[in-house]
Amino acid sequence: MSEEKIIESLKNAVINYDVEGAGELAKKALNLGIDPIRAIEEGLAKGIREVGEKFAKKELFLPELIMAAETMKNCLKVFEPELQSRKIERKSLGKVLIGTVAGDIHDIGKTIVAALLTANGFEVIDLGADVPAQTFVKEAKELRPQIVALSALLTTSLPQQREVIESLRKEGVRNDVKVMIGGAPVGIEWAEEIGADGYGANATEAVDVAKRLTQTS
Amino acid sequence: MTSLKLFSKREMYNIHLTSLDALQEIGVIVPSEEVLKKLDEVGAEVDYKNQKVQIPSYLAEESIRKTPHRYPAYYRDMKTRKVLGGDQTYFGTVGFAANVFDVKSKTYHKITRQDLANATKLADAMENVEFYMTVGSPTDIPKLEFVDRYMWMLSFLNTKKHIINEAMYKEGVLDAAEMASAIVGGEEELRKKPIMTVLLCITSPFRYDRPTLEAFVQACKLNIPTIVDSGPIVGATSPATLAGTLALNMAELISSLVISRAVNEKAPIMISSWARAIDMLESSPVLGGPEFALLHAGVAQMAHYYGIPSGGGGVLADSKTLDIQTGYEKALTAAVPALAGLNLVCGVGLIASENTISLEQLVIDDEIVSYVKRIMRGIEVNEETLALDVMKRVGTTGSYIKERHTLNHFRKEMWMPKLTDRVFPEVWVKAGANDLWVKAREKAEKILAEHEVEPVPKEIKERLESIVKRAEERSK
Repeated sequence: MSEEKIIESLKNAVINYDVEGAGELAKKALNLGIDPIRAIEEGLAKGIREVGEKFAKKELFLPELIMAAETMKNCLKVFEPELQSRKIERKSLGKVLIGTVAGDIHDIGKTIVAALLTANGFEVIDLGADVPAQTFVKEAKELRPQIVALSALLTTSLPQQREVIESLRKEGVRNDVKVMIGGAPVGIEWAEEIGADGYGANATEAVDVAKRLTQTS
Repeated sequence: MTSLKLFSKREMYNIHLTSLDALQEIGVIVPSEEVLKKLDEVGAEVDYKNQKVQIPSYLAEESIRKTPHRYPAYYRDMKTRKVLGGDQTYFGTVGFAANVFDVKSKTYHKITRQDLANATKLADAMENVEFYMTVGSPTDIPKLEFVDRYMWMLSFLNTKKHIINEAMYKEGVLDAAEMASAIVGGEEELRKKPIMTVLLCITSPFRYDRPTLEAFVQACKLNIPTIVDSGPIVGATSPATLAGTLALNMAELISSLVISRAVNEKAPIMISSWARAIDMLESSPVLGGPEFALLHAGVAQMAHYYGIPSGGGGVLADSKTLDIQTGYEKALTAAVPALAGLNLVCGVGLIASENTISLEQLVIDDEIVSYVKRIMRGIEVNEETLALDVMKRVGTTGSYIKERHTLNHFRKEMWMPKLTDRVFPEVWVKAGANDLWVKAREKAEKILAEHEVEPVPKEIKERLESIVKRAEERSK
């Protein structure tokens, strides 16, 4: 297969949600010596952007968006060690570290926001659910994201959002990142109270907020 | 297929016997020498002087048995075919409206030819509406004698769907058949692929009027499908009890099977009910009430018991505007008869009982019907849908939204609304905090501006116009 064909296949893998086959395709690309940056930007990113646009136009549904994002994630898992060893960063609208805070195992809302951010050109690192404040701090120090995004569904886990912001401050990285928060019980008042930089009432708004935060940073 | 049953076998049998007794002991008024003679020949007891026919049970039962279990109805493209009868349920518009409602100004105006053309075009674009019954009689036509010709023509020109129209006179049926024959390429073609149905109304209790009867006989002779309506009013033109109304309703409808079998054994026919209550304070008809829903489920079950096609009203509302009352009345009078297996549920687009058409409501009703159709599909249970493998894989921590099983099934399992509002509250507020009708109005306007109805060739259009003109001149 030619380089062009492989890149086209990567794009199509995302568009056709080929979660299972995409990783192999990425390995093949590396074995053939294809520039991983090119494979990501001209293959995967193009595919996910197309899916994201269709989702915005309501032509595609949530599971399709998520599966496309998963497909991309599986490929990135293959490409990222290569990028790190070559010490190159991929171009994106910005790097977002996202997770549901400690004590809260609700994954879906955060997963949707992560997928939508990915589809809109952000580089997203998803830490999962029930993530301790210290993990956010450690990863923020290491990965140097522009944005830390904190999700919470339970009223009881809301204070954890404050906890993460406090920890970032104590560890001296608060000024290096923008913090955005979301989740059903979260409102603009809470965001102001705990000193978050942004708040999205839903996944689409979260993308707008992330865009605004990365433009001003 | 979900299915709702109101009656036990024994109860159905008792309703059946009551209908038979009524036909035998009371009989029906049939004001036509020709039909009286035919009924006499097949064994009915005929009182020529009073034009009264008493139908013995064996004749009624034989007529039920001889009625086709199902029959095809075609669109005017001659390709789309909808079989009426059996387990299938279709939805349609219905036509008694004299007014058009403008939801924005909350005003009514008399329906015109342009309104009729617009409503027809809109119904043509509705994907959940399979049958088009002409929605109203335009009031900008000077004489009632030929208004039905305009209704047929405007319907043929503005939709390709199968057309149902009420016949008031024999001549109207002949002209309509001539129009349909012109479209399909001849009378023989029309016999094979009927693109039109003639609707006739029985007058409760137990009467036919002469022009309607003549139109009915004419349609049967031409082998054109007929839908015969009986719409007794509970406590007014039928007993105050729903069981009694149903028995009377079915008896009248069975009498139409006897007549049509006597005229032409092969003629396809559907029985149709508009049995309704009357508001005992306002003296207004009640089409959106629970009695209506129940009676139509009852008719559906009786028709299945007989193995004959059934239809009638549904998706109806007595509310005068597009409000919550319209919503619950429409939803329940759509769902209940449909779940009981009524083959053709007609009412899409109508509000204010049967008085008024609303273009916005027509669009909303398409959505209600789509919702009901999802309910009718029920829940499919098999190994794949029970999904134990997926449950095992996801376990207690993962999420199903990332599973291929979700991707494979969500479109079929979940109803995908086209109009229904489900956005988050803040999004709704930001978008103008609108009621549903605002979106429905936008959609209706867009369809009227952009939708193209499959055209009728120019020379056929001229043929239809000349048939209308001929009727107009004859009535002078």
